[in-house]
Amino acid sequence: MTIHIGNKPLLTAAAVMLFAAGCMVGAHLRAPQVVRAASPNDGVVPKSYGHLVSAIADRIGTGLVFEDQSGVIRFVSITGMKEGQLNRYDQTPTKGGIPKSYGHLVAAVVNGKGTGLIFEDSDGVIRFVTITGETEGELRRE
Amino acid sequence: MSLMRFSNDCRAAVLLLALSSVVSAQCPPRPVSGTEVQDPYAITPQNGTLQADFSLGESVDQKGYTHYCYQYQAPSGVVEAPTLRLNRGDQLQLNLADVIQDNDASRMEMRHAAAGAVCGDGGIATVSSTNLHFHGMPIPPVCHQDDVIDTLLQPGAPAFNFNIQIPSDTPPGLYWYHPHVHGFTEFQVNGGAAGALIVNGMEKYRPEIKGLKEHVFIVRQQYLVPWIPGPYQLSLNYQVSLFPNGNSPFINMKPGERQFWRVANATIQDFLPIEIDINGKAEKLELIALDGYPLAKTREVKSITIPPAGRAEFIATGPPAGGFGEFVVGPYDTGPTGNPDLSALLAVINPVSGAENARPSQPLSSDDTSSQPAVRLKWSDLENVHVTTVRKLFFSEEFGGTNGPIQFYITVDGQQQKVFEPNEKPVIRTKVGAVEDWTIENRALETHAFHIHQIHFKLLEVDGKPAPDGDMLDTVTIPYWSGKGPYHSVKVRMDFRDPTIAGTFLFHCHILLHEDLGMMHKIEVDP
Repeated sequence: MTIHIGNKPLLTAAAVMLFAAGCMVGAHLRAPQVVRAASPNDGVVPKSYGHLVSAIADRIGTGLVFEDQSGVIRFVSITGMKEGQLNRYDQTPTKGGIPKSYGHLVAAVVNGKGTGLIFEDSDGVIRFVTITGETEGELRRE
Repeated sequence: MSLMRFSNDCRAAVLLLALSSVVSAQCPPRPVSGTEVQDPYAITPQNGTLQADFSLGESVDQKGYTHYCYQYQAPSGVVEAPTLRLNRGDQLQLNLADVIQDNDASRMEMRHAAAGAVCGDGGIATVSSTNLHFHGMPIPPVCHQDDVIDTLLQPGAPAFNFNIQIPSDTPPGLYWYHPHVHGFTEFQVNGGAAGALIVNGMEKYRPEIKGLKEHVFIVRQQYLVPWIPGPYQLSLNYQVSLFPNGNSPFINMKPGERQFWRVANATIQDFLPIEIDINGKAEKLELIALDGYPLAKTREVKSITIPPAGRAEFIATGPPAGGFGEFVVGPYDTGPTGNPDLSALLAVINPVSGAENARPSQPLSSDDTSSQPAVRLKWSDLENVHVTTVRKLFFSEEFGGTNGPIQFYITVDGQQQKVFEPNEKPVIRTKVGAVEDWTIENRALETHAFHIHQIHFKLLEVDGKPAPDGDMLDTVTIPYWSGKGPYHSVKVRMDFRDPTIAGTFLFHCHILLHEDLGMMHKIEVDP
C-alpha cells in the first residue's frame, strides 16, 4: 500500500521539528556553567601547539612561542592564554603569516621595534622576519 | 515549562529564522587605503524607536589581522558598525547575535564562575563570547540594558535583545558601543568591534555648529597579536594609513571650510594627541564637547589629547586653496613601562572646491526636533552640591616572580590589592543620593585611563591643583609615576543621585589589556 503525503504537511512537520530543535538549543545554551576560578599561572597549553621554540618578553611578562608540525606559530602567555597565531603558506598568503619555505622557527626576540622571528630553512639559510611577515634580512650558508 | 521560560528558550528558533538574512561569520571588506574617508552608515529612529539587528562576526584578512565586526543589513548591503543616532526619549531596540564560528582561537577560555544571575546565554567566557557596553550612557546597569557583569552571549545562540530608553536628560553628544567580556574585550576591540552612538541635540547647547557639515570619525588600533610587542596600525573609519610606506586616507573640504568633527578614540590603548596641521603648522581647533558632554563655552586649542575611550567634538578648519592639511596624532609618553604611542598621519586633508561629503549638522527629519527645548544639562549643578563621602583609590602594578605575569590593580585605599574576579563582591558600596569625591592616584610606572560606567564625573583637581575648566568626563588620564616625587592624581566628583543607575557596575582602566587582566572592580549603588 502506498501512502501519498502532500507537500504542505511535510513542510509543516519540518517547520515544527525545526522550531522544536531551536527551543532545545535555546534551553541548552541558557544553562549557566559554573566552574572554578583559576589562578593566573594555572593554564594549560594544548600538545597540538607543538614544540616550545622560544620565550620572549610580552606585554604581561614572559610569552611562550610554539611551532606545530605544520609550521603554524602560536604565542601563549604565562597565564596559558593563546595570544595569537601566525599561519604558514605555500605560495600566496590568504590569512597572512610566513612562507613554509622559510623552514623552522628557531628563535624569537623582542627589540625596540617589536618582536622578531628567526627561521632556518633546509639549506641552512637564516631569515629575520617581522611578525607581520616582512623579511628584514637573510644570511646564506656556504 | 512556564510560558515565559518557553518563550525565552524558543528565542533560538524565532530569532534565528528572523535573522537568517543578516547573519554571516565573515566580515565585510574594509575600505582600501588611499581613498576618501567615509562616515559610518547611520541608523535613525522611526516614530521614536530605533530598531536594529546586529551580528558580531569574525574573520581573518589577507595580512593575518583578525577582524571582529558588527554587521548590519543596510539597503545597499551589509555595513560594519553603523552609527546609532538617537534623540533623548527614544527607544533603542538592538538585537545582537554572536555568529563567530568556532575556531582555534576560541580555545582561549576565561575559566571563571558566573558572576551571579545569568543574563543571556551564560556559560564560560571565551574570545568568541560577547556582550555590549554603551560607553558613557547614563542608563541602568541591568540585564537587557547596560549590564556587562552578568551578560554573556555565546556563538550560535539566538540574538539577544537590548531594550533601552535614552533618558530625557542625557547630554547630547558622541558616545560609543563596544564588547565588554572580561578577559577578552581587548581582542574584539582590537579587531574593530566598536561603533558610535550619537544623542542628537548638540546644536541647542553649542549653536555655533549650526549649518556646519559634520563628520563622525572613529580611530581604531590593531595589533597583529595584541599581547606581543610589535607594530600596530591606526585606522580612521576602518581605513588604515600606510604612511610613509603607502597611500594615506584623505578628507576633502572646501578651502577654509569649517566643519563639525566628532572623534572617538576606540583604540585598545592609544592616547591620542590629535591636531590638524595646515601647511605644516597646528591649526586652531574649536573644542565643543568632551566625552559627549557639551562644554560651558567653546575652547580654542591647538591639540586635544583623547585618552583611550574618550571622545572630542570640535570645529575643524580646512586648508586654504592651494594649501595642504593633515589630520595627525602626535607621540605620547606613557612612561617607563608603558606602551609606545607613536605619532601617525590619520588622513590628508585636501582643499577641494565643491567638496560634498559630510551630512549637515542641522537636524534631519528624524533628529531631535527644534521644538524640544534645551533642558538643563544633567550634572550641571555638581560644583555646589553637598559631598557625602570622600574616597581615595590608586592604580598600581606588580611583577610576579621573574617571569611575570604582571598584576594590574586598582585599589580602594585601605583595602588589599587584588585583581578583578567576576564573582567578587563590590569593593565600594554606596547608595542612591550619594555625591562622592574620589582622589585617584597613579602609583605605576605607566599612564592609566580611569573610566566608570553609568555616570560622568566632574574633574575637580589635577595633581592637587584646581582643574580650571571642571570638565564633565567619563574617562580621565592619570600620568605615570616617574619613580620619585609625588604620584600624579586627579580628584573627581561622582554623582550617584540618579535612581535609575542603582545596581552594580564597573570602574576600571580603559587600557583594555589592563581591564582584561583585572585592573577593574565593582561598585554597588543601593536604591
